[in-house]
Amino acid sequence: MASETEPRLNFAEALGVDAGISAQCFSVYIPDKSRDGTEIGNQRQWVLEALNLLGQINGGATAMPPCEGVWRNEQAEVIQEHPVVVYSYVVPEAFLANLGRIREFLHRLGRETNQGEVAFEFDGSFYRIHQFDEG
Amino acid sequence: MKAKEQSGRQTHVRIRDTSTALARIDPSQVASALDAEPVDFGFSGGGGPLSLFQIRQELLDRLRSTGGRPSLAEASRRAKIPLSAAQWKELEGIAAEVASPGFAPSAGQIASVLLSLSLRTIRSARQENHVAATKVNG
Repeated sequence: MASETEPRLNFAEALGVDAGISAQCFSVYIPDKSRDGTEIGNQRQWVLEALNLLGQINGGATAMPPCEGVWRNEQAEVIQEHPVVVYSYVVPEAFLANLGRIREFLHRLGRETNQGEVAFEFDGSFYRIHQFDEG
Repeated sequence: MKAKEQSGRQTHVRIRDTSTALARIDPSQVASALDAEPVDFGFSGGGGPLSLFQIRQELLDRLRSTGGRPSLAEASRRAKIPLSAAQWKELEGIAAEVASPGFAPSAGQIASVLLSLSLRTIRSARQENHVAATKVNG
């Protein structure tokens, strides 16, 4: 129980929410550069595929505008990049049932765009994939 | 709605959402299925700082619903532990931070989880020391 002075409110009821409330978010970073810093050239295609995949599974997904980031590669070179973050609040049953499709996408993204790692977030934690499944 | 703090400044109180959310997925299940390495995940046995994520995950693992308010599994004994008002307020703050729709742990449950995580760390360190001492002496 939180502080007794805290007001309590059922937001779902108050705002007329009639579908389930998703408490966990899945976000994937779509890169624009490979592990050696060269442009991959088809970032947009991967963003659209991620949106389509997560939209099918969770009923919706959102892509943020490209943001600025850096990544340190195996040679300790800092690669400047502009990843696009695609996120989707999960519908647990559908998400669990489709983890295989998500895995296939993430590993293919890493393999075909020559990434040192593919990064995603789930429920507030950050995850990295270094070894990609063979195609 | 405002609450007065000790500093004299006023701050808005937090509204606690009591909506019921969809079931939560254990993040370790997702990490395993995607063959991903978590960066901030799991309990550090080496005495590192506890993250809110670890506290939350431990709570999710141990909270069991018995029809009423979910209770912590294996926590059957209720002991009186001296705390200052500031410590209790801090526990309430942590409870509010890790809460989400459908998941509202109490300050007491946070205290219980912090205690069990700390005891696990100490137990692990003592076991390591015992193994090291056995090797030296043996």
